[in-house]
Amino acid sequence: MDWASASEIARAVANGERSALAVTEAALVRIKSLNPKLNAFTDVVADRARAKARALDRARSEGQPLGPIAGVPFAAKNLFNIKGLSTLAGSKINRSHPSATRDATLVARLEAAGAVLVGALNMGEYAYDFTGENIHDGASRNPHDVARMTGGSSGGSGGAVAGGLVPLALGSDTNGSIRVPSSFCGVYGLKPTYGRLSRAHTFPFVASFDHFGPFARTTRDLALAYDAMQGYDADDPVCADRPVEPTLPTLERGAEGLRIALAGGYFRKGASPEALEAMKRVAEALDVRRELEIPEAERARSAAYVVTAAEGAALHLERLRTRARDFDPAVRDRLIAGAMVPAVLVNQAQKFRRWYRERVLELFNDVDVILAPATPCTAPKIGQQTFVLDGIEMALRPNIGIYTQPISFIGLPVVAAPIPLTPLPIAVQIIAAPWREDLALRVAQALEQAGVASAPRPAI
Amino acid sequence: MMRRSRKTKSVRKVARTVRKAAKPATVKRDPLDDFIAAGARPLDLKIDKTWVPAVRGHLQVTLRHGALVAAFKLPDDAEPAPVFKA
Repeated sequence: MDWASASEIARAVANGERSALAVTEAALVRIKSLNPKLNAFTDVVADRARAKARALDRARSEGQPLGPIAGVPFAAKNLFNIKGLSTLAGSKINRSHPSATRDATLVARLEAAGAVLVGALNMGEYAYDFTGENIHDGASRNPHDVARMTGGSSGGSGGAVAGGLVPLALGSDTNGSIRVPSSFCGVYGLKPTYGRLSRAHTFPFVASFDHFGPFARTTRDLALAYDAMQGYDADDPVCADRPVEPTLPTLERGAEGLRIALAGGYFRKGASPEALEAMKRVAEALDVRRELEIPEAERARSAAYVVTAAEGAALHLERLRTRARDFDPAVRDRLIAGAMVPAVLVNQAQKFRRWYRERVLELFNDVDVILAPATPCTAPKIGQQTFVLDGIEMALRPNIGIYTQPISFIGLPVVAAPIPLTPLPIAVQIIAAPWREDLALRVAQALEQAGVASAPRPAI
Repeated sequence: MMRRSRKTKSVRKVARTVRKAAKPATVKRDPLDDFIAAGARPLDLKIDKTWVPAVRGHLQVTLRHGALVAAFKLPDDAEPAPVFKA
């Protein structure tokens, strides 16, 4: 079952075909064998995982009901609190922090639904990263070509799911950190609406834009995990007090009846032939001909850039004063620059954010879903510093997120659906109006069933 | 008064040019470096001089993005996105 989906594993455990302990042991063996190549995990919690799996098997033998993802191994980006571990957030500095005394809300909710936490995942330092590289723990490596980036900052999450180490992982997305690794690694990722899933008991980055969500190899698994994590959490002041809105019951409705358009203009500029090919395949499969322009998308990306720089710097100011030499220099120098950004620009960016939100929400009067590329290119080589975008050579690190930033800037829900091009996959963004994750998941499911979207199995 | 010949004037001009060219080139300090140094003091940030080129580069990019945002005309009563509720 080393490439089995979370749904298949949960079914096998529920009907007694496999014990949760056997599934857990198999995952631990696979992690041991493949992690030296992929560098996805920074910690493995084998004892905890075995104890949880045994408890599930005992519960089943006693006839107790099991949760919807009982026995499914999963792992979390190492900015989620995991009881007994220091929450690294990809840094050297946080290694001296005391161990967490409780799990992050989302980790606890997945476990309450029966999933089995097996470890913590590599990430870019303090999440200020689109590459998946990490100077302290080494780069996360792409299972489709270990010389290439996973994308970041949830690099270990993308690598672990794409490499088959776990069928499910958690990540965070401030400017694209779920969608970029989904694209480079060829897996599904869901960045829900801002405020939908709890951020409590995690290490933050940019409070204005921080989102959390799942990675999986099927749309159904994304929906399963997402439904299990929904719900208000008083520990996160941003978490919306909304009822749980399950997406699984409507998943099979597919794209039938949905008004879908392609994002043009800014979202075509700079796209590589691979990104355009992925969009073409998706448009043909869904028979979408309509194209619209998201107004001021480029300025939205700029505003997200400014707010990120300033809020990130504010978060780390004390550490920049006292432990500047313990940062990854590439992150430190960006944070110091962020500390110098005039407040008037940040305030203007937040005012523009409201204007832009209103204009984009108007688009959803006429369409239900907007499609856009997730990344301008497929996975670059690890260590690559620049790439060519729209004919101009640019710094790679800050520019991979050109298509993701204008969307997370206003918190829209997005499914990144992998299109299995050869030799490397690339994803498209399926974007819906706030709180309509169900629609984005339905379109992803339609593409998966049409054979257009899929998580390709790497030869590792 | 003796008038200088055209040739003498031209030689002097060439000599001036050669002297100027031979002078060690002075590195022009980027105005942003002063901004960074001035900004670091009240923030109590100690910036190693070897970090300055990278910090300057990131700041230049961020300010370019900021300029694009600032150029967008908004009404005086535009509310920022985060609204505090007491």
